[in-house]
Amino acid sequence: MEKKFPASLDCLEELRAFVRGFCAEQRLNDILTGELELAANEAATNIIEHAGLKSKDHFTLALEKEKKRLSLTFRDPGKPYDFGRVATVKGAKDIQKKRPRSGMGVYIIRQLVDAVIYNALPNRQNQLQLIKNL
Amino acid sequence: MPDIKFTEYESGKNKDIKVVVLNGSVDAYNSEMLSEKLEAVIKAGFYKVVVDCSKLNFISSSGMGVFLAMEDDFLSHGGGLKFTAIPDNIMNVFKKVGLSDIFKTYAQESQALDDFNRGI
Repeated sequence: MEKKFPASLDCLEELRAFVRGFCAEQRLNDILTGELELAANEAATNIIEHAGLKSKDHFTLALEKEKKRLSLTFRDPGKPYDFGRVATVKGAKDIQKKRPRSGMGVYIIRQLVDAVIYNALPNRQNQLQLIKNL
Repeated sequence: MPDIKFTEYESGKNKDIKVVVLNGSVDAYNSEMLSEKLEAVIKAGFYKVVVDCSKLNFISSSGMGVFLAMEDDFLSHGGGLKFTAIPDNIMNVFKKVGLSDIFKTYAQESQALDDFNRGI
C-alpha cells in the first residue's frame, strides 16, 4: 500500500495512522507497531524539515510485507543527501551529555529498524527504505 | 493534525509538586506547546514535576527533546521530572533509545511523589 503526503508537519498524524492501519492489517503487536510508527514519523519529519521541499510538494510512503520482513519506503523530490553522514547524536551517552532539543531522528530510526537504505534515484528522487525483520 | 491536551494539579505534602497529565500525541508539529506548558510550570514556581503519561498516545524525538533540553531547569532548582504510567509501546522506545536510563520512570504516581517527598 502506498500513500502521498504533503510536505507539511501537519500531515504527521495522518502518516502515523497510515502506518498503524498497515500494522493492524499485518496483525503486528503494539510494541512493533509503536516502533514502526516512530521510525516512520522521524523519517517523514526529516524529509519535511530538511529536504528543501516547498509547501506544494509531496512525498510518498509505501508499506510492504515480504515474507519475514517489512519495508517502509519513502520517496521525495528534495535535494539529495548522504543518509550515512546526516548529523545526529551518537548514542544514549551522547544524549545524556548533550541533552539535545533536536537532531535525534536518525539515531532513533537506527535503533528501531534493522536496516536503512538510501538511494538517489535517476529521476531526481530520494528513496529511503527502512527494513524491519519480523 | 496531532492534538495534545494538558491537565494539571498540585500534589505532595506541601502542594509543591505539579502533576502534568499528557493527553494525546506530541510530534514536531506541536512540541512547542509542550515546551510552553513546562515553561509556564516553572514560571508558576514549580520545579518538582510528575509527568503522567497514562493518556499519551505517541511522542516523537521532538517531544523527547523538549524534556531533555528542559530537565536541567528543574534539577537546578532542587526539583526534576519524573514520568509515570508510560504505556508499554512508548516505554519500549524509551529503553531502545536510552531515555529510560536518563529519566526517572515509575509505574504509579504515588511512587514518584514518595521519591520527591524523600528528596530523591
